[in-house]
This record gives sequence, C-alpha cells and structure tokens, in this order.
Amino acid sequence: MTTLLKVEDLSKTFTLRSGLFGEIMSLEALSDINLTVKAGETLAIVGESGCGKTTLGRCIVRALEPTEGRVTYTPEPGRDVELSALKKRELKPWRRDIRMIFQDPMSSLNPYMRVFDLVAEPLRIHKAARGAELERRVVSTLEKVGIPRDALQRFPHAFSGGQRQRIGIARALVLDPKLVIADEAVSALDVSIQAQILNLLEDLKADFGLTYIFISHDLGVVNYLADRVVVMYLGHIVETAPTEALFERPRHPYTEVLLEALPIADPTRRSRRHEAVKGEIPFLGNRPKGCPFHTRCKFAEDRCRTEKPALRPINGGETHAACHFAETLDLKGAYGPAPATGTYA
Amino acid sequence: MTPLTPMDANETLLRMENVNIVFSSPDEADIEAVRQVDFTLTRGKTLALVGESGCGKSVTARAILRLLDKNARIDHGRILFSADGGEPTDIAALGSDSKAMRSIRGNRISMIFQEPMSSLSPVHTIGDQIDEMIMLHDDVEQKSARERTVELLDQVGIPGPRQRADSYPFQLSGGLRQRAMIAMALACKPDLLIADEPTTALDVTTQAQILDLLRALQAEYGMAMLFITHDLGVVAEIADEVAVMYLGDVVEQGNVFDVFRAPQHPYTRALMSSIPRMTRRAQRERLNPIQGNVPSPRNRPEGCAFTTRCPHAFAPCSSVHPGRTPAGEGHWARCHLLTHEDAPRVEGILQPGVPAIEGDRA
Ligand SMILES: Nc1ncnc2c1ncn2[C@@H]1O[C@H](COP(=O)(O)OP(=O)(O)OP(=O)(O)O)[C@@H](O)[C@H]1O
Ligand SMILES: Nc1ncnc2c1ncn2[C@@H]1O[C@H](COP(=O)(O)OP(=O)(O)OP(=O)(O)O)[C@@H](O)[C@H]1O
Ligand code: SF4
Ligand SMILES: [Mg+2]
Ligand SMILES: [Mg+2]
Repeated sequence: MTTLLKVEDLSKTFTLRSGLFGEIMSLEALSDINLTVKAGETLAIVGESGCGKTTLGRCIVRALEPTEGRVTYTPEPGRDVELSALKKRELKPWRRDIRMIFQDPMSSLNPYMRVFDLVAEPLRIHKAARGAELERRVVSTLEKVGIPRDALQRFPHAFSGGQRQRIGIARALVLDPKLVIADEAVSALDVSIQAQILNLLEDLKADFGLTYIFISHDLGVVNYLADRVVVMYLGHIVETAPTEALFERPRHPYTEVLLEALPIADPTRRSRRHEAVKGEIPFLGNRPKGCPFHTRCKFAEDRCRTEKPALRPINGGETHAACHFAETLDLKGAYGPAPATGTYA
Repeated sequence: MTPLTPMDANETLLRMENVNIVFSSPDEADIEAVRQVDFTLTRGKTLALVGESGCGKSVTARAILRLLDKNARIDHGRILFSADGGEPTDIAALGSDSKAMRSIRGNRISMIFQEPMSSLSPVHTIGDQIDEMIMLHDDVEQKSARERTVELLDQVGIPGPRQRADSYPFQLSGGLRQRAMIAMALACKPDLLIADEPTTALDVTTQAQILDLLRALQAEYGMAMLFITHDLGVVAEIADEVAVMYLGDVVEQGNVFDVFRAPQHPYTRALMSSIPRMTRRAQRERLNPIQGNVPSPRNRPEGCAFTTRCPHAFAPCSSVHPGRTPAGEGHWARCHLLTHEDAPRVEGILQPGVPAIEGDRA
C-alpha cells in the first residue's frame, strides 16, 4: 500500500495564562508524533481523555497550527505536498481531499440551515459545483448515507441523533475526499444507531476507496473497524501495530492496561481481569521525566524514571512500541483463547 | 386495597410491579414515559437496568426515590420495599415528601449520578458535605462524623483522605469526584444503592477502578445495587441480574449469564448483535443493526413496544401487550413468540412445541 499521509516529528504546545498572577504556562499536548497513513486503510487513534487525539487530528487538517514538525500529503504517487508549509490560501484545494467528521452531530450542524444547504455548503465554499450539478451531488450523497429524498428541506432538529450524524458524514463526503478524519464520530450514539453508522462507514470505504483516521476511545469499536492502531498517552505515541497483533499481544504496558480495563460484553470472561490500574493520568503541565507512563507502570525500573524510551520497531516487525522492555514483556491481549484449529484428535 | 404480600424474607429487597410513570403538561396530552416496569432487587446482588437513550431508566430510578418532577405521577403499579425482611412498604403509595419517604431516602436508599458535579454542592468541601450526611443519619457530633468521613474517603480509595476532605469538588478530577460521591452515598449505610450511569463520563481505566470499588463495597456492606447503564460491556462486568428496557417497558429479566447466553426477547437479541464482539479477524461478523428508530412514547404501539422494529413481528404483536413468560429459572421475557402456537419459528427462542436443545449449557 502506498503512503497517503505522513506526519513527522510533530509537536504542539499550548500556552495558557494561569494562577493568580497570570503566569504563562505551556502544555505540550503533542510531542514528537511520527506516523504514516496508507492509502485505503483505517488507522485508529486511541487513548484516554486529554491524550491529544483531537489535537492531532486538528493539526493534520491545520485547524490548529503545529508548533513543530511536518505533515506531508501524497495525492498521487510521486507527488508530495507538504501541508504544514503551505499558506492558508494555498491549503484550500487540499481541504477538499481531507475532511473531518466531528463527535457531536448537533453542535456541528447549523440549526438554521436546511439539510440540502448544509450538504451543499462545502461545494459552494470550494466552488466545486453549481446549479444542476450541485443538486445532483447533494442528492446522491444524501442517498449514499441513507437520508431520504423527501427530507431535504428539513432542519437538523427534525432528525434523530443517528440521522444527524449521517448528515455530518454527507457534508464530509460530498467533496469526494480521499482521507476522512472521524473524531469520535460514533461515541455519542446509542449502540443500535452506532451499528448503522459503522456499517455505513465500512460500505463507503469499500465503494469509494476512502482512507480513514478513526479517532476513538472505544477499543471494541476499534478492533472491529481498524486495520492499524496508534495508542497515545500524554501526547506521545506509545505503540502502533496492526489491529490483530495489538489485541492479541500488546507490547506496551499502557496498551495492556487499556485492554484489561475494557469491559467485554461476555460475563464468562469477567475473570480475565486482575485489578484495575492504580493512579490517575498525570497533568500535562508536569509530565513525568523519562517514560511518560512510569508513574503508573507496574514494570517500571530506575531507567524508566530518567531515560525516555524511543518508539521503535519490535523484533523487526510492523509493531512499534516505546517501552524499554517491549521485546521481552509478556503482556496480555483482549481476545479469548484461540479457536482450535486442525482436525479433531 | 389489596393486601401486600410478604416477600421472601431474606432475599427480595425491592420489587417493582407493573409500574408506570406519566408526565403531564399544561398544553399537551399526557405522556406515559414508562408503561410497565417489573423487576426484583435482591439483597447483596446487582441488577443492571440496560437500554438505549430515552427508554426510561433514569425516570424509573427516580421513581424509587420518589424524586420525580412535579408534573410526574405513578398511575398504577407498586414499588414494594422491605428493608428488614418484614411487612413491605409500597413506596408508590407514599407521599413523596412524607416522613416515611424522607426516612427511606436518608437511611435506606441512596443514589449516585453520572455527573457528580450536579449532586455535590460547589460551595462546600466534600468533607463538610459527607459530615452532614452522617450527622443527618446518626445523631453524632461533627467531630466524630469527620472521623467517619475520613474513613469513608479512605475506603473509596481517595489518597490522603484527611487532607482531601477539605477540597472543593472542582479541585478533584472526575474519577475522584465520583469516588467522593460514592462515599457520600455510603454514609447512611444504605440497603440499596442506585447508580445511574456512574461511569459513563469516565475513561476506561477510571471506569474499571470504580467498578472494582463498587463490587468490593457491595461485598462488604451487603447492599443491593441497581446499576443503570447503556453499555452491555459494563453489564457483563458488574451485574448478577439484568433487566432490559425498551420504550418504557421492561422486556426481559434474568441472570446475567442466561441473558447473555440465550437472550429471549427480540430486542435483547438485536441489542446484542449490534455491538462489535471482541474477536479476531477470522471470526469477525458484520454488525446487524436494528432497523429504524425508536418511536416516541406518544406513538408507542398498543401491543409490544418493539413491534415497529421487530424482524419477527406477527399477528398479535401490534395490538396485544404480551405478558411475562418464564424462560428459565428466574428468567422471563415479554414476547408473543414465547407463547403462541402459530408464531413464526425463531432459532434460539424457547417456543411452544419446540423442544429446548439439550447440551446448550455444556
Ligand atoms: N486550545 C487549547 N488550549 C489549551 N489547551 C488545550 C487546547 N486544546 C486542547 N488542550 C489540551 O491539550 C490536551 C489534549 O487535548 P485533546 O482535546 O487533543 O485530547 P483528546 O485526546 O481528544 O481527549 P478527549 O478524548 O477528551 O476528546 C488536553 O490536556 C487539553 O486540555
Ligand atoms: N420532566 C419530564 N417531562 C416530560 N417527559 C419527561 C420528563 N423527564 C423525562 N421525560 C421523558 O421520559 C422518557 C425517559 O427518560 P429517561 O431520562 O428516564 O431516559 P433514560 O433511559 O435515562 O435515557 P438516557 O440513557 O439518555 O439517560 C423520555 O422520553 C423523556 O423525554
Ligand atoms: S412480541 Fe412480537 S414484536 Fe415484540 S419482540 Fe416479540 S415478536 Fe417482536
Ligand atoms: Mg477529543
Ligand atoms: Mg438517564
């Protein structure tokens, strides 16, 4: 598979005023992020609240300016566009190719616009179509996401949560993007609606060769949908791996902690859990030295408190992890026992 | 008035029987938000009440405490509560502000909410708030109340409890706030703890910590727990029993292992097949979503609430409200497929004239 997007050494620092005297304080929300997105894959970004998932998505589409680093987009083989170096004006054509879907379908839709206009808006902004052509594209996109034709003149409040999320997806798709960044796109939905949207995302990918960056904190959904997974903790990537490898045998202790905490809808598997990880996520403003996870890690040794482990390939495979002991730790995955293979004895 | 039947002395703590909840408004017709709730809470056990947004879980929980809005009323049904194994009290028949009800709220049943901020006072320290709960319950001085508060905060896993008691809620993280809320709910040593989505706003690792904590506390205090959630994963982790709710009806109740292994109501089955399973690629199955949307309670079908979306609906479903049908030890469902001779055959559902498959449990 060819590379569609490459993120190199990306960092993002927010500065805030805090305290009584308005001291300036800086928060490094992303630190040295490196990742590639291959054309046609679904890459999931997971991690707990505040680890930097949304910030990363927003830096990629330049809704936020990265403090450092490069984002390179490859629309066709041999043609690299360094998005992070472009002026805002020069960015516009590429904004058609890379679209974002947001978590909250209600607040991301203007309540005073009719569905037709909501979906036509991106086409108008990008002057991508007008007149009959515009109408045809809006109607066919809404059809793809399952919004009936007779609903085109309604306002968002007249739709259910799932339908509103479909309208949000239609807004992203109407420009025929290549890469869709879905930020918690199904998290606020009831499971039955969530299932409809997950199936829809999967069908759209198959039909139009889309590539997804799927941001989520729900590892069950990620296991179902993603080809590869990036795990973040406190603004760092701690592990990236093909989905099945990650859920079968995680290589970073934080990944194991996440998998162990994940509630699995099967009461017979309750006993797999030992005890929930202790402690809380540290505040970004005083991130621990050394390995960012050492304050909660049950394998931490002296070295972890001083030396920051690099994200590196493990045993020459596709999995990368940032733990000093990643090669040797025997960590527990989330799947049950492997199904018996071969013939019965 | 029908006499109240005594309940199994040591087992049943609370029984909801055929309870409805109606909301009225000055300019619209009444809405029957909850039509028929039946379930049983057992001492020392956790019942998970599960269902999608708007099905009536929170309203049901508030009905038990008689904390519903002014425009709400219970038209029929009983909420039988027996704290000491004696003659049960019908909570539904008490005045919501009566002395008896206030004593149940302060002493017997307590509740924790999804967003602890909404039930903790922002202008008092958590220590003061818990002290007050204790003093309300046990006639003691502030000083000894504080000792108990510190003990409680320690028990719910708040580090440095004596110092933390002096924090205001906004100074605590979401996880610590939820722990403080739990400490407050335990201050009266309740017989029943109602937890309404207590972990929904939390991260998975914090959620796992809180679930572990609730389980440990329950073992220690021996209280019953009504745990409200929409997450089947959380149900599988914490529940002994499950009650499944759809559009104001409890459609199935049973032991958690039975309900997950052999769900009997089509809605329960549909819910289970719309969540991704934790499986390897080779066993991956495409999700099977429920068609359509939940109707509003105003458009609830006369018969089975699930009729408009049920893939197996047949003649009686839209007009006749199905009764509770047993489907095993302490397991029942409300569906015509379980009782009608001429119902369509559905694999996995216990139907008349179809022998149960043996070896299913093996
Ligand atoms: N505009 C901003 N100014 C200051 N700090 C910010 C800003 N945006 C985000 N942050 C901080 O950066 C960190 C990462 O936030 P981000 O929203 O990317 O997390 P996330 O992983 O998407 O979390 P969630 O799962 O809660 O959506 C957080 O500590 C957040 O408070
Ligand atoms: N004060 C009220 N007046 C009128 N209707 C109400 C009132 N409070 C709740 N309802 C209705 O009662 C029904 C059940 O609401 P409830 O809050 O119990 O749902 P829930 O199952 O807890 O949902 P969620 O998972 O979203 O919390 C809904 O249809 C709601 O609109
Ligand atoms: S009663 Fe009828 S409509 Fe309701 S769940 Fe059973 S088969 Fe479906
Ligand atoms: Mg986010
Ligand atoms: Mg609720």
